[in-house]
Amino acid sequence: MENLTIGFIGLGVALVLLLLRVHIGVALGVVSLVGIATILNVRAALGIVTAVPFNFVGDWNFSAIPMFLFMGFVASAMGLTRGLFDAMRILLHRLPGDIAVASVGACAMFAAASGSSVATASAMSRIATPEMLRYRYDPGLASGVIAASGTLGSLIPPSILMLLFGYFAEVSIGKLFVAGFLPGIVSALLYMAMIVGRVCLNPALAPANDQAATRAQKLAVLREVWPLPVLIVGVLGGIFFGLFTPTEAGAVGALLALAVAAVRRELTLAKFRAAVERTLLSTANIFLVVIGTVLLTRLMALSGVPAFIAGQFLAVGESTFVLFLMIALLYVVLGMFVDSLGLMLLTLPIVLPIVTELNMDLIWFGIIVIKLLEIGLITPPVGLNVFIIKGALGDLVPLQTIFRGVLWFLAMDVVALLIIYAVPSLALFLPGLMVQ
Amino acid sequence: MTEPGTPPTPAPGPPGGAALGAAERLVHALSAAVAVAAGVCLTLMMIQTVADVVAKYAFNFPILGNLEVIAYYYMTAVVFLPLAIAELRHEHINVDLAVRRLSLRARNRLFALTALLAAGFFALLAYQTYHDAVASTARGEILMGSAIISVWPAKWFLPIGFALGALACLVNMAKALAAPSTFDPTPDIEDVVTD
Repeated sequence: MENLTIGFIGLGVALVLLLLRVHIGVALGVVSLVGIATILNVRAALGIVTAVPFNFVGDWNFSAIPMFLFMGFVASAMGLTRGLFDAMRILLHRLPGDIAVASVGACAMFAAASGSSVATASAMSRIATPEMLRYRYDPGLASGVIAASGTLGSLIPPSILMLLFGYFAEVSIGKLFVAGFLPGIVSALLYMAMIVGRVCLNPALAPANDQAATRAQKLAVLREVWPLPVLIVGVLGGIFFGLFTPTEAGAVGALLALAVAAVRRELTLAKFRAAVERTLLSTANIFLVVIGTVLLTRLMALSGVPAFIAGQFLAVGESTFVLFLMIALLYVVLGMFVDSLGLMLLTLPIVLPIVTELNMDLIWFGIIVIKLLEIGLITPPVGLNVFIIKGALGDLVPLQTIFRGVLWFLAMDVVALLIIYAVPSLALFLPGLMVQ
Repeated sequence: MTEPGTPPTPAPGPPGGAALGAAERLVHALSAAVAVAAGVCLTLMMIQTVADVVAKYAFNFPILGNLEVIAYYYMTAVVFLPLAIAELRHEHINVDLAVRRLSLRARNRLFALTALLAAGFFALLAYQTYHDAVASTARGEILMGSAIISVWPAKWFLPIGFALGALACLVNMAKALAAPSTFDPTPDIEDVVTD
């Protein structure tokens, strides 16, 4: 059998295993072992198994992943994210559809702290959606806004996806973090503008409420909420000014979050253990995916599948825009089978050679990939965030209604994607200013 | 860990349930114990990284060998030791399109099959990394960076993590087969908001 055929059969089998709910790390690992053993021999396949896990995990850059996860889980376990939604509501209460607009802002902040789109959607849908439904907001809007805004997490740093992209594309992780900032803000502002516009045209979507807060309430919320923005800005600023590596920034952020909790007398052993536990479970999961994917890239390299696909792509034309559209299509289609982490790791070996061939900026391209992956989180039929929210809300809102509500945000995402593509300096301006 | 030492209530039901319960408690206790070790490593990783930053800026003198210890010891512990406890909680990142239509019984049979596959994969990894650890120990493997560090002890985290991971998958498989109409293979979608 030809190597290329073995590679494609391997990919097919991996997809079937994924559909049968085999863990993606296991599915890719098993397929790679069998594939490599077929192309070379069993000895070589087992040799790769021994070498890959230790060498990859022992890379210093990867230690940023548990540190940022820890910072996020400490922040939420210790209640640092608690007042975000209230603070945003007070800040934005004059706008039409204020609770939905505030949800976008609160999700963006929560996501920045947690670095996880799924955790953001799960937590915020329990807080914000019932509140919007109580004020008779359109259920599609009330649930869709959380599904979509949860995805801001991967673009607004720190982001696990960016860390892994930076590692595999061999670009500066610090620069990627800084590059994601403005596109993330633009995405959030587009969401907010769309909500305001829709509510102006159709006030029935979000009936007005007169929930003006008193001065004392405002002060109380401010006291509750200030440490988190300060923490995030401090961590990002430290990376921006070259004071910290990403790992150091994550560790400092986690320790400061613990310190804030201690000062507030919120630091308990139970909460600390909960944060540690969540961090360990997430880390083990992420690296199982990473190891499976790295094994698969070995099989792919042996079989020549990435070069073949890249050749097909490049044969269509050298136009950057056409390739951009094709890559976008690839991500949307594959996004129906694979979660964002696995999808990114799987496609990078195929896509990176194309991007290098065309001399595209890898940091700019990284931001585009992250945005595409975010879009995949809310695209029917398997938008993961939508199912997370459905799980959190129970019978409160039907699945179709959530997807219907998400469509408006999906449209804004397409606009944001085109802006990021058309205006590369949106992503590249801030990294250009960074201290080397 | 919220309650690392407390095993879940054993699945009620068919004969052999007692043996399964005991095996499950043993695997659970071992998995929880190594996960606690991983938690200690995570905490040390944070503290040592911050200490390094402080030493670098305040005293202009980074701690020798700190990076290597963090990368080789703490990272391998944090990544590989919690594998088993993650399996026991069914903490999967997985795609769920076709399976949702199946009955609980059919889903449990499928789950048992995939757990067996995962157990085989982990067992293979455990076997390979065990031999690697033995070889590394025999030659007393060291690493020369900013300081000379022994790396061979860190290599043992891998076979321990993978072997327990394999056992955890077997426990899951046995549970799904023992009680196909009550066992719920769906992972809990949790968040950490405690209030």
